[in-house]
This record gives sequence, structure tokens and C-alpha cells, in this order.
Amino acid sequence: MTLGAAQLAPCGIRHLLLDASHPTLEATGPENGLYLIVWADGRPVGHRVLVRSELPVPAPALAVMIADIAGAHLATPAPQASRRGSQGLSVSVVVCTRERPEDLRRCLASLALCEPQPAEIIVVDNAPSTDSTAAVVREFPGVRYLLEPEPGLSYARNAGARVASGDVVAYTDDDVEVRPDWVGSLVLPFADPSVACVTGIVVPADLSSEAACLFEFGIGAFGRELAVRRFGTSFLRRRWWQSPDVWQIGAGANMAIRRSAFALVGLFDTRLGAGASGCSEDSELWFRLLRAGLVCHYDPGTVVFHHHRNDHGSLYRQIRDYTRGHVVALFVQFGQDRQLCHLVRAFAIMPWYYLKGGLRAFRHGDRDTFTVMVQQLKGCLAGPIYALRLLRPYSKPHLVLGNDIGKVP
Amino acid sequence: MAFGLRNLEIDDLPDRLPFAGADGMGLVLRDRGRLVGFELVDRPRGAEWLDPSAYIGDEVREAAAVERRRAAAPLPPGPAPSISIAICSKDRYDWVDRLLRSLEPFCAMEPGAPEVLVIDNASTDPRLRDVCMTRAWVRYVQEPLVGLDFARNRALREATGEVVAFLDDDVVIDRDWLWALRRAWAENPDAGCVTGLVLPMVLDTEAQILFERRGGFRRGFRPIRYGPDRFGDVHYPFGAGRFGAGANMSLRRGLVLGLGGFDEALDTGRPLPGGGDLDIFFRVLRSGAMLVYDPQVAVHHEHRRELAVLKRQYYTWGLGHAAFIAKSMNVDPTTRRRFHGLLLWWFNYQLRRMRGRLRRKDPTPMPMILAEVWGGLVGLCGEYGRSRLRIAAIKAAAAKGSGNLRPGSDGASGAAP
Repeated sequence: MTLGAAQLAPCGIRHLLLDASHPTLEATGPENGLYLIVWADGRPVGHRVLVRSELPVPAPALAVMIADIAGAHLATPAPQASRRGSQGLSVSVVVCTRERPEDLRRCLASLALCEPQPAEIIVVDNAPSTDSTAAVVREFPGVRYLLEPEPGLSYARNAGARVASGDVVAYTDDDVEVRPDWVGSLVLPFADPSVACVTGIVVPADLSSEAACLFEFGIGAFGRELAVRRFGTSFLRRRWWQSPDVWQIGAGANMAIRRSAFALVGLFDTRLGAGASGCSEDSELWFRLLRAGLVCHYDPGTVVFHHHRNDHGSLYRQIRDYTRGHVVALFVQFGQDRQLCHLVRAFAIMPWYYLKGGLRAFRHGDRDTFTVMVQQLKGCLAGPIYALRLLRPYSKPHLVLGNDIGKVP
Repeated sequence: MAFGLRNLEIDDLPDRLPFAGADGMGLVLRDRGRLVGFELVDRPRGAEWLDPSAYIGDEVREAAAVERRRAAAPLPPGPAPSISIAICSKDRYDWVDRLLRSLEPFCAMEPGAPEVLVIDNASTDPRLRDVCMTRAWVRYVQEPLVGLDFARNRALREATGEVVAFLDDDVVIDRDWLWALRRAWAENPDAGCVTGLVLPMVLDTEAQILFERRGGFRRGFRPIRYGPDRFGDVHYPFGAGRFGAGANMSLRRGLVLGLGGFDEALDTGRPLPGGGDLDIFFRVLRSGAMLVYDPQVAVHHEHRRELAVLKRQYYTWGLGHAAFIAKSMNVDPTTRRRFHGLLLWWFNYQLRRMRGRLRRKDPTPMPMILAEVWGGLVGLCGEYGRSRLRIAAIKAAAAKGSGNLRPGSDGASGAAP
């Protein structure tokens, strides 16, 4: 039978080096699926999902399969990322969190292993109800604690940007573990003065729950682009009905922004993001950066590992919020450039896509995808209603730089 | 209308490839001998030559890179399973002769060469026997019951190898076929079936070109390992056509005999001459074994030359496909829902093709699409059941004339097409 995303749970993850030889690939536990990620030159170059009945894969067959998964990389290996010096740019890492002490501890522990170390690590505690976050931060000497009483991810991120002293503000989430070279590889592309934002790949850390599998494979929340991409102003130029897919640029859990660029285009829109519309505060900022003629750089060699949510209830709410946030961000973008394409996407393309997907899933008896599509459709319809709040007066959050404003490219 | 066929090394391409009077060109793309791509190029009006480098795309480069990596890997340890080659034919002695000639370098002299069986499926022409008898390395076996799957089952019983490689009589093997077949089985010791690429042997007539235009029997140039399930693939494994074609398939003998062999009611010649390969692919996968598609296990197939015969083939493909579905739904009612989904998709696909044809985007002429649809409808309306009855009659007649199961005995010739 064909298996859907939820039936893969619990799903194991196997990281395979392209140039290593591997023994027979077997399930080691009750795994119903295996997610293979093939790595070369420190970045993922291909991935594939196997279901349990396809296992075990004998060693010689696995070697062929790995070559096939990495076919695109083998045919045209990406040029090695230039290891040019980052011209002494300093990095401030900002981790926004809210009542997830265990996750935060894991995240900070991974940051402590980073080589080189960032200039500073700032934990923004967003509208806390207990002091558990502060207690975790005290375990890590040298990590700054910052309280942001106003709930909302955008508020927290802006607070971090305001106190950060580095030339580059690197953002990650509390449910993430970073790779030891994360800080170093994030800062490299900033050697190019036109680069305002650097993003990287988000790889799942754990797929043992159904909700995590649905999140990863059912909605594909984090794209898995495997090539270096440069997004410039030309990315915004589409046909009149096509809203640019700014979400393709990356994920907020793995991004760094030049602080001077904040001064140029403003901070995160506090009406967007988790705790407000749901999400897309990051992609809306990228939209502004691109409109300002700046460049966003995506590099799959910049890796973080994300722990997806484990329970269905919060997963469905998250899916709804994501879609709603996406739609609201379209209205914000419409407010900026008055292009009809954003409204076409919000009112026609997105609802139609989810309706079609839901019907198809229903016809195939794929209950999980159907539920996901229904949630997305709900979020999509809730978007325009939520967007009415955009009509209220709103003062955009700004970052005023001190004497280093001359650095704006 | 006739196309030329050319083998090209992608690292050593000629700057210009003259059409030399042909209406187009079929390019068989190789990288150090390995098959990495196939392109069908129409001759633009007035053009004398083509630039082959324009047809080396990303897909070709990727296939080449994968094969290079594969070639660099050490050969798998352990003995590869022994192989028997089985050719089932009825009367087509000249084609069998051609195929045996292509097998000769690998099977006649080499020590440890595979055994070669020719199953004579109730031929009326004695020359098939002569073609085999002149070659000491060929085992000639007569199967008096008319029907391809009778012959295939006979081959399974007669063969001694762990693996039986079935070749249709209208193919010749590619130069690396045997080597690649051994490698595929060695790489996948858990496989129950290995299928391979089927390329055109010649593109001399409109019918042959038309068939290749729609993809022919090609199933891509990347090795694929299919298991009983697959993630995120709606019609898997019910759409069994993707796995390969019976013209070039090898099966683990013990496994298939354990499954009861080929279904004799499929592939009977007229009126139901198809579906047996789909059926065996499906059953092998359902048994939990792996099915491997390896493009390097390649044969060259002589497509039907006449348009009328091609149209008849479209009809039989639809018929065989539908008969396979009708049969499988009956055998295991739990699969019914999935097969209904597949049928819906299939008819929808045919409708889209018709629409594409009306807009001149699909190369297949409307009568052929309609023939395939008609075949599908006939296949769904009890053709499999009727075929079962016919098979039972053939068997009964053979049993009645037992002791004299010669070709041309009344039971067999009565059902001959």
C-alpha cells in the first residue's frame, strides 16, 4: 500500500556521507520509515524516504541508492563556498523563547559548542509566566537574558535586534540545535556588502511522532532546497498575478540579518508572526529587503536541526496559524507595493490549492493529508478576517543605529 | 518515414551528425558504454545535420554521474545467482536466430555461461527447431499448450538457474546486458525480479517512430529499487506498468514457482494477449520481495512495423492492463478500492490524451487512443473470466489427448490464433 506521512511514524533519520561506504541499512527499532539524508562537503545533497518494507537495503544496493539520491550533486558539484574572511564582522545570536526551558537548554548547549563563538548570545524571554527561562540562562555563563513583556515573536526578535551589538544578528528558535560551524558559515556571505540576509537549511532532528512526520512530509513546512541561491530584486518581478514566493528564501529558525539593514527597512512587523497573525514575519522582512535592492543569500551548508512539535493538537493549530499568517503577510505586502498579485494569491490561488488538495486527499482516502488541507483552508479563510486589524493605526518599529549608520550598503 | 539510430558517447560527441536522408534521428546516449539517455529528434525542415550536444541535458548528466559512481564501487562480494535465459517463441525462427546470435558471444564459449532455453510454444514451422538444434549451447524445449504463460511456466520448471531471465523473441540484447544483469542481482540479493530498459532496434516505419514518441518501453535511465510499499505514491504498486516490460525481465525461479508461476489466463495470444508481466510484477512485490529496474540491463526491441498492428497493440495493452486489474481485484478484494482509484486515473489519463490529441500535442493518433480505451473496457467486462474458460478448455483437451502432447495436436491448434 501507499503510505502517507503519518504512517511513517515513528520515522528514523539516517545521515549518510556520500563518500563513505555504508553497511546494510536496517531499521534499528520500531521505525516505520527512514528518512535518508545524504551529505557531501558539509551540506545535504539529497534525501529520500524509505518505508519499512523496503528495508533492509543490502550494502551494494545502498551504495547505488546513495549515488542516485545525490545524482544532481554528482553531475554538477556545487562550487566550494568561499572561505574568504568575513572581514571581522561580529555576530550577535538572538534566541527567542517562551516557557520551553528544556528546549532552550538543548539549544544553548549546541550554541556553546559553536566554533567560532559568536560575540554575544541573547535569550529573549517573551512574556514569561514563570522564571524557568531565566533559570536556564543562568546555567550558561556569558549568555545575556532579556525580558520582552509584549507577547509575540516579532516583539521578541525586535527587542533582540535593539540590544544586539554585533554587525550581524543571527536568529534561531528555542526548538533548534545548531551545527558547530553554524555561526561561522552564517557570517561568510556577508563579505558581499549587498547581502542583507543569510538563511540556511532546516533539517529535522527527530521524526518519532506522527505529528512530526506530518509536519515534515505532509505540509513540507521547511523547503529542502539543496542549492545555493541568491535572491535579488529580480526575484520580485513576476507576471502580474504571481506574488513572489518569498517564503522560498528560508526559515526564521535559521537566518541572520545585517543590523544596518534593519535601520534601512525597519524591524519585524509586530502584527505578523507567532503570537500575532501566526507566521511570515520573516518572509515579509525579506520582501522589504528585496524591495530595497538588497540581497538574500540561501546556503544549504548553513545547517540547523529542528525539533518539530510532537502532539497533533498543537500541530493543527500551528498549520492553521501558518496559513493565516501567510495570508495576512500578503495583505501587508499589498499595502507596500499595491500589486494585485498578493490579493490574487490570498483570495484565489491559495484557497483553490487547498480545496483541490483536500478533495484529492478525500478521493484517495488519505485522511491525514485531508485534515491538513482542511486546517490550511481554515487558516486561509481566517486570514482576510484577521487582516482587518491591519486597518488600525500602526507605527512601524524602527532601529536607530548609532554612529555606524554609514555602514548601510 | 524513417529515422536513423545512432549510439553516441556523450564525452566524445561529433560536432555535426548528418541526417543522411532520414526524417529524424534516435540518439542512444552512452557514457563510457553505459546507457544514460535516449532522444528522438525530428529533422527540422531543410536541416542537413544536427548538433548532438544540444540534447545532453541535466538528466543525462545525472544518469552518467550515477553510473560512474556505480562503476567505481567494488563489485559486491558473494556469488551472484546462477542465471538461465529463457526465450519463448512460436514460429518466429528468424527472430530467435537473431537473438541467439546476439547471445552467442556471452553464452556459447564463456565458462560458467548461463544456460539458454528456447521454449517452442506449439510451433507449426519446424525451422524454429532447426535454429536451436544447430547450436549445442541451446536447450530446445517444446511446450504443446498454446499461450505465452504456458511457455513461461514451462521455462520456470525446466530451468536450472536460480534466476530465469525472460527475453521476448523480438529483441536482441545490448552488449552489457548479461554483465549488468549479474551485477543487478548481486547488488540486490533480496530482489525477486529485475527488469531492464527496452530500446528500439530500428525506427524504419511510422508505427515504430510513433510508439517511441510516446515513450516506448523506456522506463528511465536511473536504477530504481521498488519495494512492496512506497512513500507518497498514490497508485503504488497497483500501476504495475512502471516496473518494466515482459520483453526483458528476470525472476527468481524459486520465488515465482512458490507464487504459482505465471497466470496462464493472461498472455494467451488472441483474444487476450497481455497482462502477464504486470501480474507477475505485482505479485512479486506483494509477496514482499524487491523489484529492481536497472537501465543497464538493456535490450533492443523491434517494434511492430505496421500502423494497423500498432493499433491492435494499443488495444491489447488496454485489454491486458484491464484484465490484470479485474483479476487482481477478484483475487484480493481488499485491493478493490485502490484499483478503482487506478482505473479512475487511467480513464482520466486517456481523456487527457484525447484532449491533447485534439490540440495536436499528443503524438498518438485518435484511433489508437480509442483502441486502448476500448481494450480497457473489454478487459473490464469479463474478459479475464472468459480467458479462464478458454484456458480450462485447452487444458482439458490436452488431458484428453494425453500421451500425445505434440504441437499441432487438436487441443492446441484449436485455440491457436
